[in-house]
Amino acid sequence: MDVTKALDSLRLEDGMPDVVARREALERLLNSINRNEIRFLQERLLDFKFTKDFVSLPTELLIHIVDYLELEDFMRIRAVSHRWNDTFSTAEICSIFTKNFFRPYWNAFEYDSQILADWLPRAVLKRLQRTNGHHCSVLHGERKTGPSLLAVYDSSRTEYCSGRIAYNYDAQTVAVKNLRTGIEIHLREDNREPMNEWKLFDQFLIVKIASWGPRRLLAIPLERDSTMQTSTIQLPSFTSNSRGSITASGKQVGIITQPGEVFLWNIGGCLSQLKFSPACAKLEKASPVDSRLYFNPYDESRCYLVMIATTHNHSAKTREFQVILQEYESGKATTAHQFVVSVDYTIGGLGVELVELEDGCIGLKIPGDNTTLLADIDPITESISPLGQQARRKCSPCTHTFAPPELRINGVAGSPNPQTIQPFVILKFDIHSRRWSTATFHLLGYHFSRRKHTIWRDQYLYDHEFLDRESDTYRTENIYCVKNCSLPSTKRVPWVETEPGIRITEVNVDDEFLVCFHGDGYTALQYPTVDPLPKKTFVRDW
Amino acid sequence: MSEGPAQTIVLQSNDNVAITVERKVAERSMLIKNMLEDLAGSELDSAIPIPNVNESVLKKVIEWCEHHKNDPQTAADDDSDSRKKTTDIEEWDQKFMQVDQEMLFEIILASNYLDIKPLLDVGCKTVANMIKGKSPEEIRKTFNITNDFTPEEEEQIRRENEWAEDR
Repeated sequence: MDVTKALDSLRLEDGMPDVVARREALERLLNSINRNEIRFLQERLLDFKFTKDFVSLPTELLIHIVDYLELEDFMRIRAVSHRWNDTFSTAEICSIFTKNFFRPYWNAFEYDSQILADWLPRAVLKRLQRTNGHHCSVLHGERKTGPSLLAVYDSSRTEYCSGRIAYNYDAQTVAVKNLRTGIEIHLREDNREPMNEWKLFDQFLIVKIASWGPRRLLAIPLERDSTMQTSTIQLPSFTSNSRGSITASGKQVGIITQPGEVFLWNIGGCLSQLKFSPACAKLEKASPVDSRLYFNPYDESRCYLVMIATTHNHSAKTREFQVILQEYESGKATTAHQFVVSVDYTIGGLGVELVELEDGCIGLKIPGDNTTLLADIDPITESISPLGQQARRKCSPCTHTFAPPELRINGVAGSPNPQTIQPFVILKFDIHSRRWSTATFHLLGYHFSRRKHTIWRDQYLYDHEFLDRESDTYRTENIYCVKNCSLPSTKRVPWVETEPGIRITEVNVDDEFLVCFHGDGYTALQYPTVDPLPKKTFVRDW
Repeated sequence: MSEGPAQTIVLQSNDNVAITVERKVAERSMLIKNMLEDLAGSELDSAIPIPNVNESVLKKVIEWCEHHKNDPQTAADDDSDSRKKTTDIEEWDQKFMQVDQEMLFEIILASNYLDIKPLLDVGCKTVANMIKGKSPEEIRKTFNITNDFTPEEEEQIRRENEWAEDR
């Protein structure tokens, strides 16, 4: 009798296969056959592959899986087969990637699914081109200074912001060059007041006029055809000289005059003082380290005050930094996020630093070496820090020493002094999802103390400077990029090959440009930018 | 009906196999938990039918619930708005998920049907890890998929994605 027929006949009353009886029958079959036959079955069974093309899962589950994927995966999964291409090009899947990687473009309103499916692949390619360092053009420029620039001015000071570069042309003039158009404009105060304290923002140049008379701030619009006129506001007190005392986004300006005094200025409007929440007021009593006001570039009504203070304890090995991030909506304090970062002070006195991040997000750089993050230890307000869910979690404590990267000097491999690569952690507050995340980076130790930290989309860019013994001058070798790395085996990619003899003083990045300042000029690499996602167009259907 | 800590219930798979499990273990499934709560007070003599899950998958799911029976119940999904960045899986779960693909997908479907969110997460992470960072060719190999693009289409994809790959 055919074994298969016998198995098939084992059915329940309702006609369904009788699983128990079938299993018993197979058991009896195994007992009745000889060892050779078992070996034959064994081999055949080993070859049997239970593979399954998982795109047959329902969309809701595919979305769950796709949520864990990286941006690079989006292009790859669509290149597997026609079926995968169709499955992962649907609006449901596209909106997950848009939400995860293009948060400013994404919102809860429905987009036209066809527009989204057309837009996303192009946006992903441009973004990947940017994060992989493929630039589309290189711009070189010089800082042309006027004859009267006095030596007392910091003549090398140059700033970059959203596609523009600003520097002092002479004592009363700031030159602003638009990298996109190549047009350079010269900005002055009406009465030719000296312009030595200024800061460049996306739409305005903010100047501090402090020579005589009342202290005031000047906001000079950067767009020539702008209907905005130059605006002035009188300040009640001096602004502090710290780097972040004035911040701006669009027409909103934040001014920190002294610890505990923060003003909001809507350019063209009046000055208003920002009320402190009880959490901020309490922190005021500790020694301030830094404070800064951030704006949500996509929502004018929202801003964020970050305050860092430290408690001195000379006997202890650790130093505690109290951090508060106070959210404001329409000038009213809402959620306060607070935590304590405890840093091992014996390794070099590094603390908590504010860093600028992409998409308007707020970053805190903390040493990743024996640093403890304590959330929720002092709940002053009712609001609980999102970090509380993982309270008292250690930030990857590690003290690795790594081989120094190989350097080539004049084409010959040379080994600089052994240096320790130190880990540090970026705590990022995503202003869109209002959540915290961490990323670990491993860097050459000396970069800790140097200059501005250039971190963008989980990449850290730094220039490698060394002393050329032959000419006894400092030179910059390539700009390197450290990608998001939870492990020390960091991929260090040479990003920009600098020309010989150049010493880079500062590196600035955003999605559109990478700008290096050096000597009397600058080099800017331009990348393709992502076009905004077109909003849904309503077709009139009569 | 017996009272006490080791109260058991009987689940019946779609291929009519009855499996006895501790009530606490079965309650990792929000579907069963809610069902039992609705039935509170009434007799629990008959087996609870699980019409969408077969015996081998149900046993595997119960094995997971058994190991995780003392885990704290996760709060209602509040992080639906944030990207699930980490695909780290704890060691026991990793071993548990070393099954063939058919079983893996059955587990995902079953955990979704039975509403066992942490198991669903582990399953989806496992699949995501099979895709993450892989080239299309590697993905095809993993899931035994035939490349049905014509050479012309292949060339077009390659050209389009030229910039997308890391240098």
